[in-house]
Amino acid sequence: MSVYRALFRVYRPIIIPFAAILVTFDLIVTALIVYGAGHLGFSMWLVLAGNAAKYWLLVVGIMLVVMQLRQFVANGATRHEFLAGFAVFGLIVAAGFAAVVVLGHGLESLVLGAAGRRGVGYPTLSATGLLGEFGQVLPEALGYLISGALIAAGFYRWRPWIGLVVMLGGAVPLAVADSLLGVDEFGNARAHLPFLAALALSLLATALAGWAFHRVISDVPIRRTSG
Amino acid sequence: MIELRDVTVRYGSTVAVDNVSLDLPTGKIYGLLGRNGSGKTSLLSVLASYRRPSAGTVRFDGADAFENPAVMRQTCFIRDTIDANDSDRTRAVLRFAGWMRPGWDADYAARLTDLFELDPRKRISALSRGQRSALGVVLGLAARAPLTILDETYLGMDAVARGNFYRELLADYLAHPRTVILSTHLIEEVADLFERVVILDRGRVLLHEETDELRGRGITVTGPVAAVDAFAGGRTVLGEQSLGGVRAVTLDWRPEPADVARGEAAGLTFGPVGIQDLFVHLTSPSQRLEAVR
Repeated sequence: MSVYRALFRVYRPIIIPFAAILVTFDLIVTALIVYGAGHLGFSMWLVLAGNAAKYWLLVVGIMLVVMQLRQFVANGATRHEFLAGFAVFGLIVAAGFAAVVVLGHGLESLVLGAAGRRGVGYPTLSATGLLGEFGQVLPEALGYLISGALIAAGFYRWRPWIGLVVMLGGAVPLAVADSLLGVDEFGNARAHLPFLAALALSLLATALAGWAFHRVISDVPIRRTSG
Repeated sequence: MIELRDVTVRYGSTVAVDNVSLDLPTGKIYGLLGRNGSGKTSLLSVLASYRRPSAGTVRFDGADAFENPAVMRQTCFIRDTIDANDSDRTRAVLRFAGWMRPGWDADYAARLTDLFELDPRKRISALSRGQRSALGVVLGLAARAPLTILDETYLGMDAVARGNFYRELLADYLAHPRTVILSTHLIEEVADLFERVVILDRGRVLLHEETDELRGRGITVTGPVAAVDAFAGGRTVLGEQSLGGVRAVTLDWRPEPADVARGEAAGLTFGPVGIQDLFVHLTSPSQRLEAVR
């Protein structure tokens, strides 16, 4: 079985309950706010799912190195096969999360609009805005994933103080993506840079960190760390 | 053929494996012996591509082993600590091996799991030391990898479980011939399984011989104390045991048939030398120079 297929099998029991808890929590909190205030002036889905997509992927990036690398190599996969599987799995999961964030926002916007519960500041998302928002969320999710992986790889490969130095570099994709492409709960971009320039800078930082991650892992000794 | 050429492993200023060159014909059971810190695990880690050597090369049937997918898929390295996550359940670890290992025999794994009385529902963190070792044995044997390396895997297993392991290893090896490398400190217990023995000392290969040849390097002489002492006089004694008036000594000497006949006439009996006695003798600090010579 290929590495990315095995990764999906490993993470499926984690992703499904996580998504279920997220949706349930969002529905309950949104309903409570709408019931109490009569309207929703921001996107609860962007707050919950938007952040979950980033931070969950950050954690997945860490877990893939700390927990899965050793397991795959011990079962006959090369580090390069692991890295390739990591890339495919990460891209699909990040794209999936980004799509869920955007579609959920669209659905929330639609339902609140139909019920007449959209507040003044609510970031209404039309069908034409879906692609643009996806283009913001996906590079952010990828940046967080690579940041998590590179930070974990630094600590896995070297002593803690070198890991701390690597962590500074590892945090760059996350910080660049967040500051240039991040959107708040009101749908406002944090940076005032043209979208294409922000996208290019974010992807460049992620690609550089991805290259560094590849260099760190491609011949790393397989340690006995406990999971 | 597995070839190691000038393999060196360094950790900072510490040299764990020092310029080791070995040719290991495939399809045999090897015993890798060495004292603590002799470099066994480092050498095995290099063999299994868990670590790139600081210098030198490892080749498997002529192909470079490190990061070679074909070679890594054929190699199964089981360390004394299981390479699985503490939070995983035993059955998940076995299932994962089934996904990744092309030669995985799920039925055999299930049979071994029963044999070693492992509860598939238990998490790794809840397994005892012996149970973890048993899980390592299940992973190592059921993978049916052409190169199976077991590094002190069975430490912590009780005598019954170890007996089961030795029986299963031999039976499965005969049914599915492959190269097995066993690293162990329980030399006397496992010695009968070895076809060849490699002894490492301070990162260097001290000895690499067929087990029978190694046993032939010395002889065990048993009999009345006085007769044994007279026979052994002037010879290098590797080990000795006494019980009442009977003494058994292990000698680093190949006697001629005439010597054996003379001893038998004096009431002595002769047997092959114990691998452990030889190992202790060869790796004792006072004997190193002589052994190397």
